[in-house]
Amino acid sequence: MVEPTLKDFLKPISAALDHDQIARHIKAPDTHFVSELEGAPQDDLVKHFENEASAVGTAVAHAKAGSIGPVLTSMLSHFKCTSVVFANDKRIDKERIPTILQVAKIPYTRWNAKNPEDSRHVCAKADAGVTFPLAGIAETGTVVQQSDADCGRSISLLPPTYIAIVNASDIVASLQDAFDAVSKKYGKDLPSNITCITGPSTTSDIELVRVVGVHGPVHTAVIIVDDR
Amino acid sequence: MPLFYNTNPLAQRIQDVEKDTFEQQAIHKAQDTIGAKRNKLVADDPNWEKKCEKAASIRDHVLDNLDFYVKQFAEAAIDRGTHVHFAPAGEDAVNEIIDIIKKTGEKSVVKSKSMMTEEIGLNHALEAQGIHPIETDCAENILQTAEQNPSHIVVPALHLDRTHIAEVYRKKYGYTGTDDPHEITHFLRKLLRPKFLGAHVGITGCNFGVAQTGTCTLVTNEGNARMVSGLPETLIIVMGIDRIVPDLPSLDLMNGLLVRSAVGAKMTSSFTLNTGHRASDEGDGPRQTHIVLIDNGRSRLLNGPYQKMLRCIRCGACMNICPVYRQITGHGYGSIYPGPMGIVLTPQLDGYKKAGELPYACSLCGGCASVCPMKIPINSLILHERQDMVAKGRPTFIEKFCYKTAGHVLGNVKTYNWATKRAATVMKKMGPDGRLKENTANIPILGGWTATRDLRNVQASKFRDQFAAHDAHRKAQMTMDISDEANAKTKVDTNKDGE
Repeated sequence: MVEPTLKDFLKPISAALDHDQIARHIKAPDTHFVSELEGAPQDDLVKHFENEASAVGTAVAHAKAGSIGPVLTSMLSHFKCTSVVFANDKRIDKERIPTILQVAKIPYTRWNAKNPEDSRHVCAKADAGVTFPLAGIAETGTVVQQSDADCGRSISLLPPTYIAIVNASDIVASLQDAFDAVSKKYGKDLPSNITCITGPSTTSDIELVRVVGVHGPVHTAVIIVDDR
Repeated sequence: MPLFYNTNPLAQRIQDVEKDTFEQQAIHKAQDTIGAKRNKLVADDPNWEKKCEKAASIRDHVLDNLDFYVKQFAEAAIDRGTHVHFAPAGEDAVNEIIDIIKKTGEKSVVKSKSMMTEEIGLNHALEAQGIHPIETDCAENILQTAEQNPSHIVVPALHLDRTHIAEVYRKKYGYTGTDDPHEITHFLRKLLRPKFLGAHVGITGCNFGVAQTGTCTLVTNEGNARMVSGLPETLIIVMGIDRIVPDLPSLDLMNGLLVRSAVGAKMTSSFTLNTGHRASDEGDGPRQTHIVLIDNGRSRLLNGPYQKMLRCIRCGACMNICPVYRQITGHGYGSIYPGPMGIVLTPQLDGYKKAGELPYACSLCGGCASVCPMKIPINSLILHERQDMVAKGRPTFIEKFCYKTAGHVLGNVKTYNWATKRAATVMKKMGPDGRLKENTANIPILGGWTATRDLRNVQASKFRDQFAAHDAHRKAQMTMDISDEANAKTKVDTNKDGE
């Protein structure tokens, strides 16, 4: 089978549009829309984020920089998690999370991209996954998690409980602002996956009865780190 | 093109739906519940209309320059190592997808919900090649397991009750639980988890393709699309050329309007952006990603009256408000694209010969256009389709003759008066108590109405007669002596025959 080329494929489209040739450059329209929260003080954004996250069933806790560990362990015990897998992030060691988990007798595993099969297997078995999203969105109570060598997409997907640790200073007003943060960090070369997570997975497919916990996380939680 | 899953005549399909009161009530509930949630969010947003207008203008801009944007999108995706396949027609797409899967040697694939794969009839084609597609969205899995067709675009298995669904899983997969939707759903989680983990090929649709970055997005609540696009080594994304948006910021506007309109929420539990394949240092994600870009009749609609239909983002708001959809449900339309948007899209993609009945399943009330987040004038386009068919000579000779005769009779005062007087006399005989009832149902043409509802008789005394009488009465009173005014209070002219 010979597949059509892009050039062949474009021909009927150009013809229908009466274009003799395809434009080399087109000025994209302004796609930005001013969010109602734009320009709000950071404290208001954090408060709004908290309210929206709670509304979709995400548990919210606060931690001071330097004391994430205890908040995380109490969150884990709240959800009765006996094992945890987390993304590599310098905050893990800085906050001495491995030691704190050891003391709390909660077995933990770090994501290891060099051993992908094992890492995924661990995620499939673990009770909880912990990641460090690059942004939180105040408007919708969403966390924005990129995938990379340090953070596989399985961590926030396979375990029944998902816990996001977000800096208060990384909470932005809207999805657009979050994308601005993404673009600032990565330019045009986006990570292979970015997932915006807003509460546990749900469905209403049977008689419109809302059921929480379908294929993705059953419980979601956010720890907001007061880093200011 | 397999747009129709039921090729019975429209009247037959509607009669079949009428028998199923559960299905009708389920659709009423869906309309009322989702509609109310949507309305509340819209009412709370002072900028809703402005957002819709802006989104519509962005969609128009892309469609006006679709050759540029398809090229930009494809090149950006190729730049990220994605294999981009171009399919002018549905069959091309099907063949290309089969080709990709055969190269992997796999005999089953996991799928997340995609209207485009339904439009091209992918599942049947894969089965015919010995490849088993596993639908992983709860409703799609229910439909696949129960061998049923969708009754709604967003919640497609609503016509099946919990007892029926539990029974289907009992028979096919040994489900032992109760009819409780929670229990059934958790069974599905357990049933499908190993399928996700064991799958080597995943197929998804695409809600929006970002031209600048070659990114494809997925909007889901269940998390299955994240599994399908993130776990298997090979990812196949199937999308129409009309899914493209210019850049990342447009996603905020588009996704916000989509989710609010589709399910009455601000955001779904996951909104996923996939760009290319996993980087060399990453531990999971697809090793190879394919995008199958499909035209399938869309380019034909550009630059014409139906171009606006290509703004559609498949939210289903038009069907959640439609009074016809409320009665005939998705199954009445027989097409995978039901409701008002389907009435426009199905004939445009499939032709009037197959889908020419659909534009008449509409009261032209315009409810659809009033809620469409992309401001598509859906009811006007439906009317336009009717005009198209008339222009193409759809009315039969008899129909034309009847309309011409009616035109002559009703267009002349003398013949009009004669005809309406005769009609009043005849109808009074046929329906002595003022209405023609079911007993006239066997009379040709007339029976089309009276078989299901009464027809009120034409009155002997017409409006003009009554008006003239009233006018004469008023004038007579005005000439009365002013001193008698107190006695001359206007009596309302009551006419026994008047309605």
